Amino acid sequence: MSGAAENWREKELSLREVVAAHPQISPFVIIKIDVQRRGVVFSQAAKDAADPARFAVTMRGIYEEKEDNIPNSLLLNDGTSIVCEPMDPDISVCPRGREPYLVEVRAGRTILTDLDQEVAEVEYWPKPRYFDCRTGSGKPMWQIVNARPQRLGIAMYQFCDFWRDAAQGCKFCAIAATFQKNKKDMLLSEDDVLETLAEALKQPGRLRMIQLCCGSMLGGRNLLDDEVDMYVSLLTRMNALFNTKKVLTQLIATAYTEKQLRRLYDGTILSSYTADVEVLNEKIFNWLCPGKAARIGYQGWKERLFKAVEIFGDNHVNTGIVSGVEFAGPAGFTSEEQALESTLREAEDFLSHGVGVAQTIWQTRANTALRRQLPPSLEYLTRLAGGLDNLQRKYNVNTFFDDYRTCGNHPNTDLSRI
Amino acid sequence: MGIRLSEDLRTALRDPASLKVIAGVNRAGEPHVVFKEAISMDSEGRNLQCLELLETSQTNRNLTHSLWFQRKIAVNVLHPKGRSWQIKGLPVKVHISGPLFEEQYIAVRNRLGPEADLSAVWIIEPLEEKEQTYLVRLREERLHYPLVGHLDRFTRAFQC
Ligand code: SF4
Repeated sequence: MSGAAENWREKELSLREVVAAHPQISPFVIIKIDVQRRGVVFSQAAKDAADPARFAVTMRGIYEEKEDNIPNSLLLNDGTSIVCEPMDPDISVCPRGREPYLVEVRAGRTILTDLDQEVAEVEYWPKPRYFDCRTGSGKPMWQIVNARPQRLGIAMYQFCDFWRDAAQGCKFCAIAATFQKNKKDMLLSEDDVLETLAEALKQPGRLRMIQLCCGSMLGGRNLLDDEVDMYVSLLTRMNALFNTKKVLTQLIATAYTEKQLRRLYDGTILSSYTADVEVLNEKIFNWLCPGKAARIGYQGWKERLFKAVEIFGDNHVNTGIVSGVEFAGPAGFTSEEQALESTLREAEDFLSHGVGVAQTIWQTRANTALRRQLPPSLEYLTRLAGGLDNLQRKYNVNTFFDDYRTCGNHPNTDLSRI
Repeated sequence: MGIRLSEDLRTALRDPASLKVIAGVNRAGEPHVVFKEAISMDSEGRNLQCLELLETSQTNRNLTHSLWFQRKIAVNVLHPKGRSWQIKGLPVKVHISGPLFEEQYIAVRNRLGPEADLSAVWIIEPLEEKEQTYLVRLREERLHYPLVGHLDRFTRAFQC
């Protein structure tokens, strides 16, 4: 596979060296970070092992859609999910700038390998039963609600209005390209979603959390009222599925005003709220997320999150960051030490106000504006995960609504398991 | 490298009247020991299977810590007839979803009622087995350290 940065292995610490240098950080989490950073491909035998009757191999998400026989993602022996987008092994270029890991089957075991060496045993995500069902309107239910090992995901609006204005979408984001490539409805039907949820919830022991996340919908009497109306309507109807006032649910959405937040919290089953600031640096945010910067602004985003803690309560609000994207040029950092110090300092401001920080790993997707850029070293991303975990402990910020099993996509919240 | 547990211990593990405790340490090295009724042999009869009902329990955290950093945990099994064994082992896998997890989830709720939940099914590879029954340990000590003990036991007046 060509296209990898020249001699990248010689310029940075290897997985083994990073694990050895951080004996207090879970090696499973370090593996997860590196697989997400570099990507993963599957040998033919590993694909053949993905029995579609048992494992999840189809997915409709806002950033990715697939219907093939490649596993959606991986699980490690400690229950750590590696939310990855399997890449086609036949591609001739290396889209993440470094050679991906390879999943193989050896002696009946499915393993992750690098340079022909075993790195870890892996398992594929189990397929939930509802994936085989169709809605009354005839749609496959896996296209309506997506699933991780213990979480359901609903993306009501499959597009994002920031992409309606030229160059206003976030530069690392693949939502518009994914929407354009796949012929799908822009807005899901509430009836289809509720029918799918009811079917999914019939499987005992399968689910612990429902997440709602989609693109921004800017319209309405006030900015984002349409988006809030959409969620209030769906969440109010979801109420009928449960016998409690609140259910472990997470809304990942645009940063709302106090009035909008109160409508969601007071009137629905929603229990937690996330508004992704994406990068913990105002200057880079303005360049990376021009639509968010123009409509709400970095400081406005923060203030709305701080207000959300007053409404949703401690341990129920966080913000997501695309860790590594702070190096995207030309606006980004060029020094890993400076980036780490600055990012953790800003993270502390969020955490000291009760807002958790959920780290995701920047995956330089081929269909984004930043596809040719190189994410930072594994050492940097590992130190960031450890630093965020330390801050969470310092400020007693609990991550149960966005942890290794209620989400599975945040190395730093994985670390809070011990 | 895992070991095969003795038949007597496997029988004790299968007996619902046996008491079982599990001990581990947290990341600061503080010990934590609890009774754990739901420790049994796994379906292949090689490893221990331990059901953890509470997601936020210290045992769950400690087992995760052990799996991450290869720190041994200890299990003790006390049979109602008085024999007891200590097993030292390593957690090698945790099921938090999938067919085995769901099967055990249903079984737990059938057994303990609708309030019960299941957090995880831990698989622990046994590395060492040692019988801890008092008379067995006594015989062992007498054999290896015949002179250790209070001297009155060794006087002419001592009637054994
Ligand atoms: S707000 Fe930014 S990251 Fe989110 S969907 Fe829109 S463009 Fe993508």
